[in-house]
Amino acid sequence: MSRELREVAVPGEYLGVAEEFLPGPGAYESDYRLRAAVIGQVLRDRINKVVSVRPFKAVTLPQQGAIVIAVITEVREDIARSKIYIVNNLPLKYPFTGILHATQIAEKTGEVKQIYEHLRIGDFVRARVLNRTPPYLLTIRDPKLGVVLASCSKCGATLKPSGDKLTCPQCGNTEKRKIAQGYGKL
Amino acid sequence: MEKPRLIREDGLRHDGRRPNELRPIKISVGVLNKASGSALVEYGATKILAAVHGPREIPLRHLLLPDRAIIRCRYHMLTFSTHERKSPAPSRREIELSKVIRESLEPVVMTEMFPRTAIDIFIEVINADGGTRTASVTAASLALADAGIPMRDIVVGVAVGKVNNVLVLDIDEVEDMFGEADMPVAVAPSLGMITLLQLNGVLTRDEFVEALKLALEGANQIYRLAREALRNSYLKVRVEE
Repeated sequence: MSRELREVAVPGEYLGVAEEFLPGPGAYESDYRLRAAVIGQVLRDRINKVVSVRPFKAVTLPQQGAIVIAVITEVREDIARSKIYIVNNLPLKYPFTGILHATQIAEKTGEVKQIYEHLRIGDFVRARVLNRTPPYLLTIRDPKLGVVLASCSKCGATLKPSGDKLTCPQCGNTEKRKIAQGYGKL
Repeated sequence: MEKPRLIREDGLRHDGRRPNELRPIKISVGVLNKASGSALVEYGATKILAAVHGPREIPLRHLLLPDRAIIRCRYHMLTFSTHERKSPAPSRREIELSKVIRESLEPVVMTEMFPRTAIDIFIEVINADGGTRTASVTAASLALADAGIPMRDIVVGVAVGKVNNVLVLDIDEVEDMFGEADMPVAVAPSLGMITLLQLNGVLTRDEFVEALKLALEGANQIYRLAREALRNSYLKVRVEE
């Protein structure tokens, strides 16, 4: 354990005066004093004059621009709802709602006539977050984004990609989806 | 129950404590694994378990605030926590204490970092022997810190009472029942902020000033223990890794 690692702060811990540092993540200023906001390791950047606290247990929430894995829960005429379970490869403790609008599904505008031809209930999608607060608005308008795992609507088997469509290895059913690059790899 | 002798001839209290002495305090942090954060706090025989969930999305959309998280708090006494079985339904007193505890924590939690979400605090009184609301504030604020939720400071609670005309720190159930006054206080010591102050009974102006001084001294002692417990719970985790 290095010497630096030993400096552990708990919320309210005094870190220095406002003339010394600017508050970074996990720190804040109150009455010209810098204090820790979370329990974690104190990091003092003496070049940029920033003091921050790296939390031992961080709260993970979807951030703007984050790549998330979500499961479609509802498909309507112009909107699909989903539950976000993974953010930037980190699992969420509590799932959040993600909303996919018809305009955020196909790569070219005006292509989506029926969301049903691009997404179905139970599909796993890789999507990007567009806004900051729940309910999160998602987009899959990118070749890397879209359905990464889907099951057959007739027999329930996991669908396999063939060209720009998905086929069922058990019953031979063919389905249309907005498939992401790297389908089948979560 | 018969009224015991609250202040003995030698000036000590019925349980042998000095007037400005706290009960033995035990704090453990991170005792539950399903909750985001948790803490178990004991002030003498009073034993409180607090758990925090969130920030998370809740189905009650009308409650959410566009600029910050809401804090929901439930203080609850277990059926076996008192002399006579306590009905598990939330009583008027429990509903009020839930609100009072929530309001004593709201000034320190940085809720503005998590708009449109909810932070849930669940407090269970396992054994009640006076000072349950103050111990609950301590437990809840440690559970919030354990959950990694950014806070300006840790809040600790402590009660001061008047028994036989003597101001005493951290009163227990007997002293509360037969004493003249009970004053629960919650403090954020690093910020010098009082987030809860209630007074049941009568104190003169001078007695009030003295009682508040006593409460702040007690709060500082508990604060030291609380910070130590919080820090140790994470150092242990790091050593195990």
